[in-house]
Amino acid sequence: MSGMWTYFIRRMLLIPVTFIVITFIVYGVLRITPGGPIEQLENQMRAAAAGEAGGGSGGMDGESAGLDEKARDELKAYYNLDQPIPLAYLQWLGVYPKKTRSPVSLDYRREDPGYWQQSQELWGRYRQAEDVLEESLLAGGFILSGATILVEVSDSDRAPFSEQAAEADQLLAIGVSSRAQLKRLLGTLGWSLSGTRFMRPLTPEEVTGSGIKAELQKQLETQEQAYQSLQLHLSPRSIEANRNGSYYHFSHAFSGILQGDFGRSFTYNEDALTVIISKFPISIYFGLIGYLATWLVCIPLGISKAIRHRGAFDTATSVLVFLGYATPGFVACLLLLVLLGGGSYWNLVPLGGFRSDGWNQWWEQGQYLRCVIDQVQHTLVPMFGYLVGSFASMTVLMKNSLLENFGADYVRTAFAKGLPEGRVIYVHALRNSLIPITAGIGHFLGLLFAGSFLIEKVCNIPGMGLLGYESIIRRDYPIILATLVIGVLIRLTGNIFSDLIWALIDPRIRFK
Amino acid sequence: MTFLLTLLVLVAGVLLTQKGIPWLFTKALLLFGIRLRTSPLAKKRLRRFRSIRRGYISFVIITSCFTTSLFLEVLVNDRPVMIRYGDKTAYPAVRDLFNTWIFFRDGPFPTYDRSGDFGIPGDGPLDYKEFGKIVVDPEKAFGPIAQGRKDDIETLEEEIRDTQQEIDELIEDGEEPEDWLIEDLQAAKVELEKLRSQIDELGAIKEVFASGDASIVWPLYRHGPYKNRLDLPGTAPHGPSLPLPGITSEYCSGTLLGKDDQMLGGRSTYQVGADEGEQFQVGQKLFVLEGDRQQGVIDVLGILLVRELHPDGRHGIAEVLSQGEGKSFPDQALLASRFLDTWEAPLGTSDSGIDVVPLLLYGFRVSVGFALMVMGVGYIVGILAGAIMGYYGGWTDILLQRFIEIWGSVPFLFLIMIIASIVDPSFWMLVIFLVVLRSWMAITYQIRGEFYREKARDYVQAAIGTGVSDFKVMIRHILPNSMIPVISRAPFSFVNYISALVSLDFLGFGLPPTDPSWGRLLNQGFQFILIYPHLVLLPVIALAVTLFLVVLIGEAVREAFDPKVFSRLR
Repeated sequence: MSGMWTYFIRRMLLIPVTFIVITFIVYGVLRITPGGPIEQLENQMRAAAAGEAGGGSGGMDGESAGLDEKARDELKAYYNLDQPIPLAYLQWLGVYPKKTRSPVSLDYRREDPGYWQQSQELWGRYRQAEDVLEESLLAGGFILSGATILVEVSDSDRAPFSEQAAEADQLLAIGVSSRAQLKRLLGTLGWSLSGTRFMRPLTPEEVTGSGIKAELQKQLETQEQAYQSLQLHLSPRSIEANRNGSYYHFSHAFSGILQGDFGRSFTYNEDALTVIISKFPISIYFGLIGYLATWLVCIPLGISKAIRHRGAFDTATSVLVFLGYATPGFVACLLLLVLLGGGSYWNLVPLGGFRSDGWNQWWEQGQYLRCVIDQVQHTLVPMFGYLVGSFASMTVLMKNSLLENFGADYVRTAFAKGLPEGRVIYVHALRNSLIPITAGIGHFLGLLFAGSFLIEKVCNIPGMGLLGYESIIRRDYPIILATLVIGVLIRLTGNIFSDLIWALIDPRIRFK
Repeated sequence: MTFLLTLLVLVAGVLLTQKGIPWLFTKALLLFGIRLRTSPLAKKRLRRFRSIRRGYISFVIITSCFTTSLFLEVLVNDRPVMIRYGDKTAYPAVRDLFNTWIFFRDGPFPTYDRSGDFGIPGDGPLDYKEFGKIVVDPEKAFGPIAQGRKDDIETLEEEIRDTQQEIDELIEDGEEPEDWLIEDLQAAKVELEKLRSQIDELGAIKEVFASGDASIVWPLYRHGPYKNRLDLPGTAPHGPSLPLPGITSEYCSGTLLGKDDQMLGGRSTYQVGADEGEQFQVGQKLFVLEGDRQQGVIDVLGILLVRELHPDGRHGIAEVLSQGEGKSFPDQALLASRFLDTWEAPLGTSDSGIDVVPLLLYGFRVSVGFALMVMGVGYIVGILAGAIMGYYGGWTDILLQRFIEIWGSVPFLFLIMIIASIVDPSFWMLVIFLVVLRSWMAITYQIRGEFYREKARDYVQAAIGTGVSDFKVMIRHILPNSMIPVISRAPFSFVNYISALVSLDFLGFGLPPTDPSWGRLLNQGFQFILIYPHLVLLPVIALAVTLFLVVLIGEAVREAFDPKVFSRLR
């Protein structure tokens, strides 16, 4: 027995490793792939801007409609996207402190007016420096990108790279479709694109020399110094200011999934865990019903197939089993909806949804029968889908396991003793052949999380599957990751649990 | 005729698959000096497999259909197999075929022909349908053009005569005719010359067509999976025109009797009346047609849904289901439940107007090809990994096992969806995703077990003892003896990969949107679930039949290669 326990302990120990690898892979994929929340937001803004411009004349450049750099940095910090991936992952996990910020309230500021007076003065100085800088930037046609000043590429700059510059001009003329290629080309020269102008950073000579460019550099430095001194003034109180003039308390704290903080959903603007838990009832409902339906159909069918092995009944139902294996569950749902959904054939079931819209009202009015009928109608199609999904494998598993037991010595002995056939089959053989099926009970936790997103999409059930699917489409990172975390944990423990149950109910099984 | 040809093609496909390819295969192996020897055991298993009729017949059907589908471009396509004009010949469909074989549609062969080369003036791509029409009836095609040119010439000649007369009169009057008048005359004469030469040219072209020097050979079915059916009246999707029991609506016709005052569900209603001897049914869809009974249908104005019926079944009230933009329903307009000729679009069109027949057939090829690729590549990787684990054992085994355990827990559909929501995956990318994320692991455990067992056998030890290299022992000695689980699992994993592709396509994370696929057709059917059941039913039938046959093969293979002898009760 002890060997088995060490086996299970070893497997338990493997859970964290598996968990970390999986979540890291998905976290990394999410971070590497473009189209994150900020891009989503920018796309929305761009679409809105294009709509305002009168149906999108195609003149939108992309740069002009997006967020400006300050706002983008703000958002990046908000979504924790400014950290490198491994660090951000550790913060998400909750084993590395994360910087959290909360706005400074006015009440708090009233407590110490002198201090805030001083802060405002420092802020004012920063603003002033910024204004000066912006003015001279505007006057000279310069651009500020982050902390570097960019100047338009002149003919003398082009001379050494005339070939590339000509190619860049061509790419620019093609239009938006070649932007990516153009940016790559400019990147090799150390240039960048602003609108339709090519920009380059200042050279060291220009910075150290005299003249307007050096002056600009100095102004930039003054501005940065003003900003630093403001932060220096604020930092003893764990407060910082952003470049728009808002003050935040900040603190470093462990706040990740280990602490139960799954982050806020972008789309629901609610704690991701709360959103997921709100879907549990639907998942449990369909999970249980699907489970029960499968057992009620497959076990009797498997038994009768095994008893009449190679008989007419076995052959006929085999066709059903094969068809069940050949049809994915969601396709079966689609088929049923076409046939029964009231389109061209019969009108027996609604087209989708968990319940009708007025369900709660009916319940309050005491029309319980109507409620039950409505619920049953809405349940039939998805239930059938789940049934089809596991029908074939479950039936065959039952049949084979029973057949195997029929061949065992103890069954022959039982027959030899003269026991009646029914007793041998249903008491001796069936008990043993139910073992592999009962072991599946270990996955009962999975009921919380049941819900194939295909079936839920087809039947429009607002359950866990649809939530996961929509979160992927909307790139709602916290929900994607939270569903992943819970799903993986439930599955991993479920696997071990069913093996454990198997080992407990079948003493012949030995795990090593 | 077409039916006979189709039958011929199918017979040829069966012969090629069952006789031709095995023969070619053994010959090719002989060229490399490999003589295929079937061990008596394998022969016995093959015999057993053949004796299971339903499995063997399914095997013949599926393999033959797949090989035939490799030639789909010359069988079902919107371009002709061959066109000939004078001494110029082109093979558009054959070029498509080679393009597909080599580069998956973006091959090196040109995808169009210059229309000037084939008798139709101009530099643009040749319109094959137009060309075909001219070949069939040059008189009808050229008549109107020639007549038009002749009319042009007559008016021009008249004009010239008038201008000449005017000039003559002016000269007679002793006045100098204006310059522009003379210029006009000159221009008109040049134009006349041009028109005359055009008529000659047209005559020459017509001569070529009329003398049978131009010809066109169409594929069996003249619509492809990439082009929409702009030739059909009305808007896509179209229902099937073939009377399929249960899918196509019963044909009945009638006339629109006028607008009704009633509103149903916020929609206006019309009174409808069925023709003599016809009956409507409640819930029936009726197309409001422009055109008349003699000339045929010109356009579809909208769709009505019969809501209430008079007891005689001929008169009723129908609500407007959809109405063409800017179109009104005239009184006495034709009504019909179907408006296409029986063979015009036998299985209807998809929501972008692409014919469903080529979509289903090309979809079959894509699905089966995809599943074969994923399975093949996955098995190669999986067998390699399993072989290494089983053969070397020890730490290699333990580490790889843990890796597979962890990797197997990655929710792969989830990951593919995330990746596919950003980059549109191509066929090969999807294959690689599926192999890397899932398919290679399925087989490793069995192969590992087989290798463990076989390695302990004497013949392997003997081979190792005589100094045969590890790799050779694995490939030459152990592998042939551990193929049973691979073969008996193959059909079932095949089913899974087709299902995976259909699911991904259904969700919109699969093949690129221009590729024909069953999953996308299902998705379109899902959008039109109440109105166009054929978009769900047809792909479901195709999918279920294909997978059912594959499962039958799998069952037979399992029984032939890996028989379990169960004791019978009593």
